[in-house]
Amino acid sequence: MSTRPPRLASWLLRRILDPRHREYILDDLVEDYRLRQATAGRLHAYRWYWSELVRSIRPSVGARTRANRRSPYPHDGHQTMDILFADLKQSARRLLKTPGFTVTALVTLALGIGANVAIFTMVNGIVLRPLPYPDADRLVSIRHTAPGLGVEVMEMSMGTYVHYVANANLIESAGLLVNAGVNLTGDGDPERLEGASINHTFLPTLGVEPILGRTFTAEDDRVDTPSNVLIGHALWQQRFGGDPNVLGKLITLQGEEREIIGVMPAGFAMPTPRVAVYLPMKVPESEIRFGGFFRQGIARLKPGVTPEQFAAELEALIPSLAAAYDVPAEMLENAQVGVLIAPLKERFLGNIERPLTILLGTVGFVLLIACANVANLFLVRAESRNKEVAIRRALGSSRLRLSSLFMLEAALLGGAGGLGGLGVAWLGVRAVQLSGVPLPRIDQVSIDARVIAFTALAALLSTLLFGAIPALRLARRDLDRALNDESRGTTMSRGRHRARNLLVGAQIALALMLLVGSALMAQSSWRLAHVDPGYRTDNLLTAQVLLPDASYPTEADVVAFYNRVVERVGALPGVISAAASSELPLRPGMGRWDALYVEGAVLDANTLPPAVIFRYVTAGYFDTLGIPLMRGRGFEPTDAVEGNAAALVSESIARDFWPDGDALGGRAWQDLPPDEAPAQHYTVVGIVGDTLDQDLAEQPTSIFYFPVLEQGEANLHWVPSQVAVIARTDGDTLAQVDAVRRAIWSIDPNLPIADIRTIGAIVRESTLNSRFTMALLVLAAAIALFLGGIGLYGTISYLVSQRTREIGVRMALGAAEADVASMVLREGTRVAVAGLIVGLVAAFSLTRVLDSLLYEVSATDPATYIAMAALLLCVAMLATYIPARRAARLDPLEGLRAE
Amino acid sequence: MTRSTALNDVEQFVLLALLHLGEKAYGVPIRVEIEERAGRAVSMAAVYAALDRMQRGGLIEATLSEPRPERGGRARKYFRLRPAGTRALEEAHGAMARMWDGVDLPKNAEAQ
Repeated sequence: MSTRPPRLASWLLRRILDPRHREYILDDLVEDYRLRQATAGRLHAYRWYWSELVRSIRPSVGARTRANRRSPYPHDGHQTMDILFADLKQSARRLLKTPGFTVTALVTLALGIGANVAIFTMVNGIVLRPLPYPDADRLVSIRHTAPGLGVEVMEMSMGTYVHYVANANLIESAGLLVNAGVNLTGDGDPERLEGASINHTFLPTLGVEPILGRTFTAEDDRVDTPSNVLIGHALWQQRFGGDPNVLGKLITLQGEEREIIGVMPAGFAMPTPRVAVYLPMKVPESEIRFGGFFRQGIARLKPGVTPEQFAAELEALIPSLAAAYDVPAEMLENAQVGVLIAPLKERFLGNIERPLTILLGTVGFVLLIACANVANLFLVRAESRNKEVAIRRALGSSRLRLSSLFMLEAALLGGAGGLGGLGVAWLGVRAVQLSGVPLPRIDQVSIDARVIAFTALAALLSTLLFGAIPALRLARRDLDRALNDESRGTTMSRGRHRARNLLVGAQIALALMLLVGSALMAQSSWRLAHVDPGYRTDNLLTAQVLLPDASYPTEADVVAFYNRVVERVGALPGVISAAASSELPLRPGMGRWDALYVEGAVLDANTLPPAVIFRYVTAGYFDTLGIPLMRGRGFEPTDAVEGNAAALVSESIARDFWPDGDALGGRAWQDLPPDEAPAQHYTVVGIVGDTLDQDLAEQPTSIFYFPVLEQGEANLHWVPSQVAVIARTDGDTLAQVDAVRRAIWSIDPNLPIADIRTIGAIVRESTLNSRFTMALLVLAAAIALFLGGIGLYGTISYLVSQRTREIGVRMALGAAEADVASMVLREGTRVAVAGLIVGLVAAFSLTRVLDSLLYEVSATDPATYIAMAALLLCVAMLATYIPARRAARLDPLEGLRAE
Repeated sequence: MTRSTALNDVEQFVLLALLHLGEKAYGVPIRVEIEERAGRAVSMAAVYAALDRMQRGGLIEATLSEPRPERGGRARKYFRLRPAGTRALEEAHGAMARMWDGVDLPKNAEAQ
């Protein structure tokens, strides 16, 4: 029979009991346990022992705290908290006594930590935080790809949606959305709103409900029911003053009166933060077909289903689409139609994740440099305390205890630096939010528990980094050597500078990596800003309007508006020429992509030709935008003759679609191959210059231009009711804003005008993300350069001050000023060059991660490497030169007198 | 010593147990004594906390025994009263007696 009390209880008791009596109590308890086991049985003893554990808690804690409160012996080992507290006080006092050191270290740390926390806050809010919907991790977007058609990404069609919902088992629910701009008229100024049409399952799939009224029902999806509207919270507040009786009110959207049936909660806006109204998606039977991939699909997966499993299930359903919608199976195969399933969150991220990750890495380097700097400051400080440390050691302080004193100082600085960093980060994030950089979800970025945890971690790691080196060196320091060294007051051994030189070298290496990275980004950004897009970017004012079907019921009405607006705006004083088109350049997603068939081209059976953009323009479009006519002629009023409409093509189309022949005079069809197409075709009458229409960083876009010509019945093709007015002005472009607006309203006073801005502004906005990344990288590099310079300067200065006596001796013995200066310079240069070499190698291997962000710059561009190394070397030389000069100017007598 | 000299009841029990036990007073017997005489179950940790407080207050002193004759046997800590402890106990007893002096408990207090 065991006579030992339960082990776990003993183990726990050992943790709880007052250490001074622990062993006696445990011994007594064992004795007592045996006694009880003998008299009352094992179970009783067992139970008693456990209850003893519980009852020991209060007295033990009381004994400990009392003991600490009046501890007669500070070193009896159990007053850790007391000692810690006293040490903290002492450390704080010591830090306050050297304000120069403390402030420098704090600012450095606050900047270093702050930069990291700021970027992390954005990564957290934009990338890490889940979407604000219940079980958001189960939400995915459904998109398609058709590499066989040269289409990388396309949305869903009604046909695919219906087919998947009916056949996929892994879907819990799914919904559809289409972006729609709408005009709000009626009381007050006409307003152009961003809207979305959604089917009735869209909001339930997200798990969002209106705060007032009801959501859409299956009834609303039918074409024969009235088109009601759900309004966003912001519109409700602004337009209706938050009126709780807003339900049932009528608002005029697109010239049609609609009843408000609900108000969405604050903060809800899909798919962009500006969407203000939601309309029901009314889809006629005939639209439930395979084609028409413009509907954004979302799905909520059943619990536990991964996006990959779901993708696999949908992929398997694709072949059956052919039978369901009467599409040739070969065509699906040739187009290589596939599905793209991604977490819904990623849809909103776009391509921002990568730059943010790179920035996070970059500011990590800045923090490393900052830590190296502070470590250096600490080392310098430690040198001046050698004597104190030696005496403490002589009096019996353990190495551990001395090191822990240093670590405490470091921890105090690290903690304060973390707090400062949090403040810096808050300011930084506010600045980014106010700067209007269109980062996704930027409005949701805020400092939360995760950010604070990150800050604490950054502060802790920094503390370990910059505190450990001095603390370790200090503890290792040889006792009598320290005492002797100090009393002799002569030159220090080279070895004692090794740590500092290493730190400075590392700083220079890190700074060079950042410099190279940011220089590459800056070059790329500059090139992107100076790329020739193929059209004029100056003195062009644009305005966009959407013609409501109610007021412009026929094609002729729309065409008439196009031409009248060009006429009116063109007649304004200060406007050189005017044009109108269905879209503007650099508005991705706005282009109308469709298949282009040309006569004589041999296509494999069931293969679709590559898609191009079809654009509708007035005759003056090319002149106004400065797109050159390469061959042939421009549009003429006689072009829109029935059955033979003229068209212009971009050079890339002429080259790609007529590789062997001449595009001029060639005939082309939109959407349908010649044998199935109606008699209506287009004849290419001219070839115009290529333009960077979708993305400045991409290849020129293939564009097929249709004329918008007022030819009455002859103008047979459909013309979009979206009109972009473009005016080329002389002098101040923005001064024409009012005139252009008035000119448009002189045609139709009810027409809201959206987005009056210059092409230049559009171009700048399209490169905003790249410039944002570049600006932050350059800022990080500038901080790195500055800190690296300061680090080197501090080290060399200190070196000089320590060698004052030696320099004095040298000069007394006949060394010239130049000798002394070059001696000091050599020291600094050696460290700098070593750092540069390491930095070049590291930069070479690391900047490759930038490759995908760079435009027309190689990540290994030698000129950049050399230039940045030279720049850093200059800064290093300057940082060395100032103390070197000071050394050279030293009065030998003074130097000899120095301690 | 800022500590007030008034003893709490566990301290009084412990001191009285020391008097009862004489020379051989250590943890286990002290506790058994309190349990048997006063019917109070006190945890060993509480006993030692009281012993510690009173030792610091100079009321009792501790001596270490020879290591116990068993494997891994450690020394035992024996406790005995110092004159200050006796005085404190007398004081506590006197205070209690004065409080009791002339008290007539109501008849229905049968629990006594």
